[in-house]
Amino acid sequence: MASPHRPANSEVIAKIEAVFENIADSLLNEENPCVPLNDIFIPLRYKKRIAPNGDTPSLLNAESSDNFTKVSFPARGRPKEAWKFTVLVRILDLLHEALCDNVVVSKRNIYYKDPALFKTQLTVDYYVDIIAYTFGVSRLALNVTAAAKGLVAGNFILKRADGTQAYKEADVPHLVDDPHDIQAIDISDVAWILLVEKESTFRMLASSRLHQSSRAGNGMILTAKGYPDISTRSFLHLLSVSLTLDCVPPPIYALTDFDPDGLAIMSTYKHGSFKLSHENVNLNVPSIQWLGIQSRDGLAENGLDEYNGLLRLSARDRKKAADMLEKSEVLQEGGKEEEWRRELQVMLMLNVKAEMEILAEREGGVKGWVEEKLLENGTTLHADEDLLETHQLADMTLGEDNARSLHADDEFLLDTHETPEMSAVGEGSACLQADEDLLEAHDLGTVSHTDEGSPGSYTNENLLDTHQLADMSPAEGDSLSLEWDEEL
Amino acid sequence: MSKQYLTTHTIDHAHPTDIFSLSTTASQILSSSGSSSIQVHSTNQPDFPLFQTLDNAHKLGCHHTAISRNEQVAASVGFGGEIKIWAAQDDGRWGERTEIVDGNKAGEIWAIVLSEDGQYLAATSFDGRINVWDNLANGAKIREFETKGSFGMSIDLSVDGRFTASGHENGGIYIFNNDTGRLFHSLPSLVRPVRAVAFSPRGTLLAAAGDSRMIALYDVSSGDQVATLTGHRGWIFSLDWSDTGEYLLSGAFDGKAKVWSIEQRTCVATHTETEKTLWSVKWLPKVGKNEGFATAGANRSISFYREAAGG
Repeated sequence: MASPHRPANSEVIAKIEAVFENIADSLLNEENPCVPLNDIFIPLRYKKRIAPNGDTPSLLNAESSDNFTKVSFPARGRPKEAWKFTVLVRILDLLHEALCDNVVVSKRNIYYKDPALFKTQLTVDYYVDIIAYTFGVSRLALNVTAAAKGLVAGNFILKRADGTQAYKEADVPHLVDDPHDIQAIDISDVAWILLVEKESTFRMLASSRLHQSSRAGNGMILTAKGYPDISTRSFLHLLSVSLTLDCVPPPIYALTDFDPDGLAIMSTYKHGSFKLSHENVNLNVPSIQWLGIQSRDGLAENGLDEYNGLLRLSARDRKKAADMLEKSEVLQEGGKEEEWRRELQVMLMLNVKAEMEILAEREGGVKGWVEEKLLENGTTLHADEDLLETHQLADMTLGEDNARSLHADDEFLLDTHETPEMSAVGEGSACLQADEDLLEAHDLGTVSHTDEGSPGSYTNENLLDTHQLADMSPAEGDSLSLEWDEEL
Repeated sequence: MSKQYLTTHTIDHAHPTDIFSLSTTASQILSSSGSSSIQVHSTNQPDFPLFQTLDNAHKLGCHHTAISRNEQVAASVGFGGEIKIWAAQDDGRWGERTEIVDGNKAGEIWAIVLSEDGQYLAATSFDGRINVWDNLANGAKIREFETKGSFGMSIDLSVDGRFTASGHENGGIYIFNNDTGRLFHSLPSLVRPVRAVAFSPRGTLLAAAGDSRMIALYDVSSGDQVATLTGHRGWIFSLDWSDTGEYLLSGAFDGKAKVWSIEQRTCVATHTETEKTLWSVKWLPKVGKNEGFATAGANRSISFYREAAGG
């Protein structure tokens, strides 16, 4: 389904470009631009307290409590002011890039673009919110999320770069950890990974324990609630990469609505934005397979008997489908996704779309359908007994080395050249220094997250509780930590 | 009394993806699909050889084609909404003549039909309008009919050119008088999307069908529904009348093609190659006394049937 309504990207892009144009105009008006007599500046509007999300007044409705200020450059004698200016230019540039590429980023992604400049995560958090307020738009309209918005459920063990471990309780959905904080993930108990477009379906599948009690074996379920942010894509990319020859990543499937947005969301995970920018290489998951909803799933029974759960395409849907057929590289004739091309054409022929809830009407519901599909797609486990036998056989074969784990991709973690090797052990002062910086950033991030959470909706509070609960690992987590240390 | 049709030939893999539209002349069958090219096969030779490929006709794929009754003009529409007009050349090959864009938005133009001599092209649009262009006036639009704003999914022109019929997503079916430029009849609704409409050869009857899974027959002069043909279990995508008007051919979602006797109001033959969608079905010219038809759809092949001798 489409994302919630938000201002068109072009409007926000225009605001950012207007800021840079004003700066350029000021420089051009100088007789000698190399030595300007007057400072250039960026105008800002703010309140003493940042307004909560969602109820952001427009510039035309400036309240009496609003303050206006200018951040100037070079601001001789005031180096902090010059630094602020540089920070703003850098953030605006990154926002501009995210909007033009239609990529959702988190504040943490922005921080790691230039940690030497920003110094702390709090800096980025603060100025992103001020920019949003100045422009009179929500943070979401800037294509920024406060944190990774992805949720994950399943059996896996996560080792953080700071040395701590998190044993994820399989029953409870967790916020996706920022991949910058991850050193390794143990997914030896995972037979499949399912990417779900919608949060509601994700929660239904998680609460039905699909990932633990499925006839297809244990799995992981992941959602980014629509179009994915970069952190969730990074997390999935990490799961899909195998750095050792003897470790085969589990298959990754996508469950989307049968509509142009569903295909566009899956395409973002698998191939990146329509413009295959350089960054996509480290985010794409080329092995994703489309589980459904495809025309044969949503329509086979409706086309013959009834008319349940089908919707008409809107004009916007039709335009989006035609745009995708025209502009997406992978949907070209002869491209990588010819079957997706066909499905878009069938949508247009029928003028029909279907939401994944259409499966709920079937015997076995969505969970039953997913299980059947997982089994069809090559997962050979048919019963718990088979699962046990396979597990025991694996134990015997592997001997003492039971755990399979994925180590974080170094290139993937190193956003800038200055960041030292995080995976090195006992490297010395540089490593210790990096650890301290990371820990500090992590703490600030947590505080910032809490602050942002409190005025949020009930759902946000719920997520916060879940997140905090996950952080306070039980004793079992500690023992696992010890085991990991021993192995190291 | 049932009729027997035999599968005489199948052009396997005629297209790399779903075939959405078939159009025929006395000696050729044109097929279009989700690929960018239109294929022309000869139907007057035993193995239906490929005669011509209209390369890169529609980048996003082509969903509708039409040929004038005089077989001199063809038209095709792509998923991007562009219309191409093709002219038959002396050697039987098709050459591109013009392209109609007409300020069209992406994908808004949908079903098309050509007048008997190919001068006029009528097309439906997503917002329910029927537009008419004059191909002899460099593709100028000469008329615009408006309906209630529901997606125009199907269209046909009577052989004498007097009437245009359109079927719409909300089940609406309209007949327009081309001489007066006015609505002639608003026919009883099928309630569900009307994916095919077809005038009988003498223009006395109009057949309409779609997601209701039944074929409604209307009297053109009075606008009354005179019959309902039932039996299809899936959505009906295509209708075609035989030259004499004795039989009606239909193709459906579940891969079944049916032949209906108009006199008896019953189905006299049902054929299935696969259970895959049939997007288009068309009668073929008679060979001797035996009638034949072609079907195409999601299995990407074109299948040919001919009535068994001595039926």
